[in-house]
Amino acid sequence: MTDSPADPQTQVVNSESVPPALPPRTHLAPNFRALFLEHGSYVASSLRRLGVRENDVEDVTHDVFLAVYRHLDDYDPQRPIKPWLFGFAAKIALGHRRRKSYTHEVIAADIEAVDPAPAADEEVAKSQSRSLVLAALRAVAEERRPVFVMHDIDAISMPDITTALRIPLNTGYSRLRLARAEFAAAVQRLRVRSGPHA
Amino acid sequence: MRDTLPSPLPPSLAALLDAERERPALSDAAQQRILTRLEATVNWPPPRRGWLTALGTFAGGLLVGAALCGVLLSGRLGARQPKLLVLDSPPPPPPVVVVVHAAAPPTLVQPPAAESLAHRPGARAERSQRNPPALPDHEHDTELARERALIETARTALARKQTDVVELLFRHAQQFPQGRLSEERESLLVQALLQSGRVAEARSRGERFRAHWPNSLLLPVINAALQAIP
Repeated sequence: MTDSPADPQTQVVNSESVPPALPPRTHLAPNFRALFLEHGSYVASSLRRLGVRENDVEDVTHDVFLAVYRHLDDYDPQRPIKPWLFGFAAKIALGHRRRKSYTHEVIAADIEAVDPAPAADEEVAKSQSRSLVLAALRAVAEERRPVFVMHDIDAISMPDITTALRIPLNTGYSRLRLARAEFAAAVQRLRVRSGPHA
Repeated sequence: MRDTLPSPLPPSLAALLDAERERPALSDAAQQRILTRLEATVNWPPPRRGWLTALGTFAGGLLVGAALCGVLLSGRLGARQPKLLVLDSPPPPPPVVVVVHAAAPPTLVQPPAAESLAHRPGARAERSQRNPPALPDHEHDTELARERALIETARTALARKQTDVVELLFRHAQQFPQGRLSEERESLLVQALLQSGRVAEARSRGERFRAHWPNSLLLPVINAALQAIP
């Protein structure tokens, strides 16, 4: 598996041919630092949505940006950055989940670290909603989840999604429809399980 | 294509996803941890010569294997020979990964020249020629591990808002005046000083940090912390 996204602009590199050490750049390039500072949170959130557990998010975010660093020269500035980054996140999250033997569905309490500070009711409700979303996303098939997350959460256009994931446009729409159905069913199931307050 | 366009999401699901979109960003501390790791990782030494290394490993493996087979066979045949492995050539040494913190200056007490060597191409090579390491690699690694342990302890204490963070960081400065994690220490120190209400000192340290490491990864964290002062 390669850690580069399936992007026509990106050279596909077999993981066996990727050296364990990185190119001998003496320091992080300023544009790479800026990229991390601007989009680190987006990648971390995407990883959570892609099923990476809270405890592993930092590690996997680090791995994603290492992969990004390796392929930084492949990025076409004319193209939107988020789908490009998401491509890395999706591939690395998939590998991570498989290594960890993740189950498809976990209880909502596992998903998000609880903020120990007392929060307003609205914040509690939002936190519960976010936990519910993450739990329901795990019920969406792996191949469809990136399409759903990018389209319905990140509001990325389908042409950009399908370009980043290197799939036909119709396949993208088809995956989105199926993913929505799976997500809706999972939300309903989790709400029933968690009681009327969820 | 029009018939394939998705319909809008049901309002209840849309509301859920709205909440998910408002997920809090990575904390400054988390960003700093990842940046520190990234910087350490991308400053790894370049990979060793590929096929030569593989060939060396293969040859070494063959020699070791042959020697082991010889010992086993001689033992099975009851030969009373000393069980000594003699290798024509030693196997290649295992790869040693030394994380070099390129941005670390010589010291903080005595500010270096305005231009940080670490931020110029070829800086590492230049520095190693001027100041050859006095310690063997394994001692450097041990020292770095000790440094890292102290810094991580301080980082955890800072996150827990403990009161001894500044002392821990000063201890690091005393023990490792030439330390490779000086940049991290100073970054944490600014935050620790702010946390303990020593605003003027924190500002002063922040200014010195900017002067020493103008391109530091940690600078945004320091700037954010200093700008948050009411």
